[in-house]
Amino acid sequence: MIEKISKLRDTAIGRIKEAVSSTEVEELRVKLLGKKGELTEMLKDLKNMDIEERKQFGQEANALKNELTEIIEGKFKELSANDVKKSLSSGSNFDISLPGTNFKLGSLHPVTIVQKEIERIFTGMGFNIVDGPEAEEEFFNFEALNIPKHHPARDMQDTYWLENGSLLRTHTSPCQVRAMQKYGAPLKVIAPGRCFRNESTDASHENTFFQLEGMMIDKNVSIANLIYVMKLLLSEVFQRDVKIRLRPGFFPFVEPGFELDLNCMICGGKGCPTCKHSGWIELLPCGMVHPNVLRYGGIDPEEYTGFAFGLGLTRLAMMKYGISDIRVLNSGDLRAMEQFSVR
Amino acid sequence: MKISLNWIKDYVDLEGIDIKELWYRFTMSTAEVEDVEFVGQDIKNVVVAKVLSVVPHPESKKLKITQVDSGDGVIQIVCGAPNVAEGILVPLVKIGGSVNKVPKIGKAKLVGVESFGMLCSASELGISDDHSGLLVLDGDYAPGTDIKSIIDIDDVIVEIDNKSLTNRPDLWGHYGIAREIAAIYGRELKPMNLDSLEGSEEKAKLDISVEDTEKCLRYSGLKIDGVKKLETPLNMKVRLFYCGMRSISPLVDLTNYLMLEMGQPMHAFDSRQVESGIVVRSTKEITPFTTLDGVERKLPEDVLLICTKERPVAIAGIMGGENSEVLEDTTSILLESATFEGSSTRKSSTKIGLRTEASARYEKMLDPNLTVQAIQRFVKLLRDMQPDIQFASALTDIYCNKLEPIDIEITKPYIDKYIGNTLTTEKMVEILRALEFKVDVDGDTFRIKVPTFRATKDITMKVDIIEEITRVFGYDNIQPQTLDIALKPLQYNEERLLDHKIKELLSERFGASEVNSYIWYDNTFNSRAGIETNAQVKVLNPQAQDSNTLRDSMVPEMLSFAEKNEKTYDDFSLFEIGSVFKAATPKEKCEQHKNICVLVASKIKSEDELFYELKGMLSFIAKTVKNIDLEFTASTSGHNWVHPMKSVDVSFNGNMMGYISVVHPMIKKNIGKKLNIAVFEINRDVLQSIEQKLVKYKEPSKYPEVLLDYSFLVDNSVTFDKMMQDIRGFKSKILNGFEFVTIYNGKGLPEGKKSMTFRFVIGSAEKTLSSEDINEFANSLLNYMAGIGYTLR
Repeated sequence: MIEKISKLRDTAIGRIKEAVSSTEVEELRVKLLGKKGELTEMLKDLKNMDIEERKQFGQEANALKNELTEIIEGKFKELSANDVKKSLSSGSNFDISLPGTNFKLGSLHPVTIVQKEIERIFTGMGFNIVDGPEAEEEFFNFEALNIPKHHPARDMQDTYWLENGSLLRTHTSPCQVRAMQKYGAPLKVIAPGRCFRNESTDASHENTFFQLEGMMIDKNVSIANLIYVMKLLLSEVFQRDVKIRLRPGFFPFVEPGFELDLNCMICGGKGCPTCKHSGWIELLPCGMVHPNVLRYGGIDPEEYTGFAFGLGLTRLAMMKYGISDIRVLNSGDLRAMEQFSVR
Repeated sequence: MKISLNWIKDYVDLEGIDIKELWYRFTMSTAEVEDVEFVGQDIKNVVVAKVLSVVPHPESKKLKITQVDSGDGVIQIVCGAPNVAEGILVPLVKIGGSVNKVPKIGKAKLVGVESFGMLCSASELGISDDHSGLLVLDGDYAPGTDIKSIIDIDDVIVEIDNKSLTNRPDLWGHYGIAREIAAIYGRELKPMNLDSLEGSEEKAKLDISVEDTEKCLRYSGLKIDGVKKLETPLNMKVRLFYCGMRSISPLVDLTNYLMLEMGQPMHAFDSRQVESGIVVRSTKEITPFTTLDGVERKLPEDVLLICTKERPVAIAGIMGGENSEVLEDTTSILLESATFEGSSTRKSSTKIGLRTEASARYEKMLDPNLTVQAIQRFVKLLRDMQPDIQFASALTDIYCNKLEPIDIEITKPYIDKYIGNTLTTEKMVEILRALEFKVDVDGDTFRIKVPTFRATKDITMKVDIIEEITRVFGYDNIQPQTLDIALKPLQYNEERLLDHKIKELLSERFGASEVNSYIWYDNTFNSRAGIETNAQVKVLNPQAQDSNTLRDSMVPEMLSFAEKNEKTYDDFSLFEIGSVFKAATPKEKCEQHKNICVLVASKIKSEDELFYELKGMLSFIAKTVKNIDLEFTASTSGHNWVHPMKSVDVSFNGNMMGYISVVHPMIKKNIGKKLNIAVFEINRDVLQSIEQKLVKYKEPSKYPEVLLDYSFLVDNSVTFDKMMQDIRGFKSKILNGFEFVTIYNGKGLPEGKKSMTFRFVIGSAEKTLSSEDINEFANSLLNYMAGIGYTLR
């Protein structure tokens, strides 16, 4: 009987090794190890054997069963790997250079992109975002900002007046007083929005543009704080350590008022056409909130101080993307707008 | 405004100061310097020469041959100037020298005759625009003398941004600028040389009366006799020219010089024309008047005039009259030095449409205390030109509206707190005193008297004092300080978050492009496109009449954008979130809110497809941002671009939000002919006001659900809404939900029918459905549907 097993072993292993397809191996498996397979049949003889013989034969037969099972498994793996290899090696015309699926690409207005970035920075620093109406009252646009009637600053800001006595706001600064009246002190707000000036348009002048007003009020807010915060904010905005300088600037709603200049990032301050060879770029007006403005906002200037600043969002977007003609921003020209697919 | 450094040097010693650094510090502490120009540098090797002889050129009618004494020998010069004459002293550019526009003078042959240099005009020296002839030098100069030792040709001319001086009346003259520089560098400010007017007090006063004391704050006058024919000193002319004024006549030059020096405008009348005295009053009616520029003007009401008893002789603070200006034969003048109120001068100047150097200064609100000083200075300068002038009147000074002195009390701790850095008391006081503030220090308290030239409007309160200290100290010298601010929970701007979310969805999910449009209608486009609006909010002063109406809808501008892009694009979507304005009449205050407007345009898709695209888009957005199902009903919109059939109103819980519509064919034919266009316009504020619906969570069933798709044949006239209602009428315990899958109205259907496919989801929470359960459901559903007339396809 033992011989029978070893003979079966030899022929079986040979046949499995020679098999060339998974089907063939499966047939062999059934033939050898299936319910009516050769080895199974052999085991049926066990009952006719004596104990010693049965024990020995049983062991051998089991060992062979395990061995064959393993070899068959191995052969299966080998063949399926071969099949995959074969399918991969048969020349395919798959063209990896064809473009991917064309999902329609939308775009955001460049000012929106810059506005979102800046809102994110300020929100991260604990500023609230506020809004104000575009058709604004004279009071908020002028009086409450310490610009009384007949003040020359009213001439500078050529105003669109409405027949109903309102006006189109000339800056986002009216949001200062509205925010103070609504929230009181302490206060940290920004107000991005659209503004309007009655002037004729050319490549660098628009009658409709975006500004961002910022304001911070608390006890003990000082000029030194203003310098610190502006430097920090602008470093965030420009994603680098910036050099700034303050010099006197006259705006009725701040005292002292400053022009904040940014070290020219094109030439690093050496002087170039962009900065008109001065090394500095006039970036934003800012200053300590005028006591009269605080009073209009319902805040006691003896108790609280604060600073405010105005950032030209439109200008910033133009700087960021190198847009040379401001008029394109309100043109609805898709050839320009669809380029801004970034978020 | 242009500033001459030579002039500044009259009053501050600038020894050892780097000029470029000086103007940098001036920008940092006072006002913006726009340009620094070093003039005169091109003028080299120019000396005084005496013309010894002049003979005609044999070959040229224009040219003459001269022999001149150059100081180191007699040389021959060929000269074309008409005024060349024997005996005059003129500037000579020697060989190797240079003047404006002639970089290097060499030996030259002019029509065959050799010339060893060039005699030049004032224009060629860059000190005048007079190029009519040679500059003839008055005086006794030795030939060979360097021209620059006689004329202040070398100078640094600085342009200061006028806008940065609007609040600083004191800086509209060189003396004020010199004061600033003295303060910045801690140097001494030299006093101006003034005449004591000794002897004038014996004379009779002038007859001056001021009727309008609101507009005229002070009027000082002095009559001077014995004025002879004078010549403006050359160096005075050069300064005037460098500062942008031309030389007119000695007396006018002198008033201009004084204005540029002190900031105080003056006017000299010919005494013969103002003998009856001076009355300062305002016009009560339209008054014709010819100003000294020869222009006849119609002066409106309420303009301040200087008059004699008989007639106006000047527009106060703006310009003198032709009838009383000084002439060549004038020997007696009435000198006016007055202070006119700022904003009324500005108003008059705007009304008349005439802005002058004088009015620009008065507008800033000048210090009334300058008037007498200015007269004293004028007399001093006039005496330098002609020592024997005589006073013909006493100084007559009508100071009707006295400037009250301003006192400010401030403490050092307050200043320190406001600046956020600590400065020493000494430093603060030094700065203030250098700016001519009077300061009494009493412990930590400063009692400050503001100088009148700063007190007219600029400096009135504590923070103004802080500005003075910090700007001169230098903002760059302030150490930045971090700040502690009480933490307060952020209140997010929900509207802004919604805007950004919707913009993200529209651009990222739906491939639309954001645009910005103007908030006023383009009336020209609207009428060409046939767009009618009833917008009532009007701009009083639009740039152009066709942009005088604020929009009450964003669609018209979007349509104009669609038209613009038609050439380049076959298929595109635009969107904007922007303001619209509504009012019943133009006089009424307007309501304003933001709308979300989307336009889809295509040459490929049909307008029906575009409509459903927008309907799906809007439903998607509402679901995403608010988790709500919008309600769509037949459109009631009155806009004439809304399609009568292919449009719906959009609302939620009875709140009207806007509409979706295919563009009306009457409008469409006027714009993008090839484009199919649909729009939606939704009130952002209404959408924002809707509370986000909470997600109602349902435990997923443990037992599988079964999906059954059925297509029904339906009459074309049956609407989707009706069918949905009908299906909702079917009740079954195991029906978990149903949804619309598709509509088919193509080939193979009976006449007048469409095929509507729905998917029914059935399942039980207790068990897996058996095939009997499913069959039972299907039978009862199909029977119910057949009963209404929806047969299975």
